[in-house]
Amino acid sequence: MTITDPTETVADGEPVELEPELCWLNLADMAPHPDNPRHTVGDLTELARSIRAHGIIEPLVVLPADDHGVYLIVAGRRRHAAGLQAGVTEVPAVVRPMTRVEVIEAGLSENSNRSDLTLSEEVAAIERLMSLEGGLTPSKLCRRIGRSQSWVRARMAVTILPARWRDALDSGELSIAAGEAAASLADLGPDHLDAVCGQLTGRTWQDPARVVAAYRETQRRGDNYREALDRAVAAHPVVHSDEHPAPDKARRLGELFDPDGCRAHTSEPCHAVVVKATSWGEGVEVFEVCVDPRRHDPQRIAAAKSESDLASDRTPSRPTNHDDSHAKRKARLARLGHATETFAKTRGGFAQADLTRLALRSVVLEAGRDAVVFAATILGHDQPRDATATDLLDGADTVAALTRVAGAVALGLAENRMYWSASSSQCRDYLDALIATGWTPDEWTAATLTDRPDRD
Amino acid sequence: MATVEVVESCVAPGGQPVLFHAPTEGVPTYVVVDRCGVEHVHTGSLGVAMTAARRVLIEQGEVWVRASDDTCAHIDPNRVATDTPSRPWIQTIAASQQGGTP
Repeated sequence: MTITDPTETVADGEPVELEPELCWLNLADMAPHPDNPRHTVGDLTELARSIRAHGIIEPLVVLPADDHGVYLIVAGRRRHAAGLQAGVTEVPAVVRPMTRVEVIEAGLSENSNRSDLTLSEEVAAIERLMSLEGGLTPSKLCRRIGRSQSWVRARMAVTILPARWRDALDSGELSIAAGEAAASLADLGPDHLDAVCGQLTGRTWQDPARVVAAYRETQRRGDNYREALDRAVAAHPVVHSDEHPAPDKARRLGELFDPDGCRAHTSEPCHAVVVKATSWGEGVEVFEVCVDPRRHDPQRIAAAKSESDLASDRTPSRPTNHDDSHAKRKARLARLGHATETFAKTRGGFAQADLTRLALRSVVLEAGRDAVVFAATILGHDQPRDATATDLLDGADTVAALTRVAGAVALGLAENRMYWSASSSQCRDYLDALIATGWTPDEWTAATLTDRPDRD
Repeated sequence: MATVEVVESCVAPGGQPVLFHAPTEGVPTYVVVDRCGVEHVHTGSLGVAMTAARRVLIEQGEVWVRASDDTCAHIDPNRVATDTPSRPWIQTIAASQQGGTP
C-alpha cells in the first residue's frame, strides 16, 4: 500500500486494477455509497465524543473520486457522520477501486459481522447483490459474503412475510428464527402468515418451527373436517357436526345393531351421520348413528337378515313400557347373569321368604283391573271398583297377609279366564278350590270340568 | 390482499398445460422459471423462490413461479396472473408483491 494523491484515479463503477492507496481526505469530499446496505447510522453521540478525544484511528474505505471529486464511502459511514458531528475536517482513508457488487459484498460482510445492520437492510443487500450479478445462486452468495447457507436462506425466506412482520423483525419483536419458521407457511396464504406471526411475536420460543408445525397440523385437521362435513352433507339427508351436535340419546349403529342392521338402518328416518372434529389423526371422525334408538327392538334387528325386514317395520307394535334401549338391555343381562348364578347356589342364594314375598307381590301388582276389583270385592273393600293393586297390598306386611291378598287376586285372575278358556289348568285349579270348600258346580261348570283341559 | 389476475391458461415456458392439479403431500416446492424456460431455483421456501424471482423480474421483466402441484403464477412488475387464483401460495405472493420488496 502506498500513500499518494488519490485524485488521479477515477473508477466509474467499472473494475479497475489499481493498488489501494492510504491518504488523508477531507470529510466534506466524501459521501455515502448508494449501494451501502446500511440505511441508518443510529446514535452517534458516543462515537463523536471518541473522535473529538482521539480522532479517527481506523481509516475509512472509499472509492476513487468521481467526476465531481466526491469519494463514495464503502466502509466507515458512521465514522464519517460522527466526524462531521465532531467537527473533524481530515481523516485517514484507503482509496480502493471496487465494482458495485464488491461494494455491496464488503458492506454486507463488514456490517453483518458486527451485527448492527437491521434485517431489512441485510435482506435488501442480498436482493441487490443477486440482481446485480446474474447467476449468483444462494450457495455462491454464501461463499462471497462469508456467511452460512442457513444465514442467507433465513433472510431470503422472510422476504415473503407481510411488510408489518418484516418491520417486527427489524424491531426485534419477531426473531429471525421465528420469522423463517412462519415463512414456511407461505403456501397456506397471507392470512395464515399473519396469524402465525401474531402467535410468534413478542415471546421467546425455544423451537418456533415446532409451533409452526403444530399450526400447520391444526389447519390440516380443520380442512379435513370441513371437507368431510361437505361430503357428508352432500350424501346424507341428516348430518350432525360440532356446530349442530346429535341429540344425547343418539347411539352409534355399531352399538345397537349387527352389520346387517347397520345397512338396513340407512333407510330409517332416525338414521344420521355424525362428523366430529378431532385433535388427533386426520382431524375428523365420521360415524353413523341412530338418533332415536327407542324406535327399534335391538334383538329383532340383530336377527334381521334383509333390508326389507327392518325398513318395513316403521311403527313397531309393542307395549309402551317395554324398554329396549341398549343400556337397559345390558343391565338386564347383568341382572339375569347374577340371578342365574345365585339360583345355582345351594347355600347363600336367595332367601325363601324374599322369593315368596316377591312372587306374591308380583301376582298382585301384575294383575289386571278386573282381577283387582274381584279381589277387592272378596276381601271386603268398601269401594271395590275404586281399589288398586297398591290398596290391596297396603297393610299386608306379613307373608300370611300377603298370601291372602295374592290368593284373592289369583282367584280373580282365574275367574277372568273362565270366560275364555274354562277348561284350562288354571281354571280347573280354581274350580277344584271352590269345590273343596263345599261349592256345588252348576250345569255349565260341571260340563266344563268333564272336558279335556286346554293347553296353557 | 392484492388481487390476482385470472388468465385462461398459465404455463411456464418449457412446460405443458395440465388437466387437473393433483394436491401434493406435505409442503410444496417451487421452481422459478424465466422466459427462456430456464429453471433458476428449486426450493421449498416461497421466500427464497420469490427472492430469486425478483432478480429474474429485474433482468427480464417477467418471471414464472411453478409449484409442485403444477399450479403456476406469472409475475410481471404490475401484476400476478394465474389460472388457479384460489391457491393460497399465489395469494401470498400477490400480497407480497403489493406490499413491496423489503
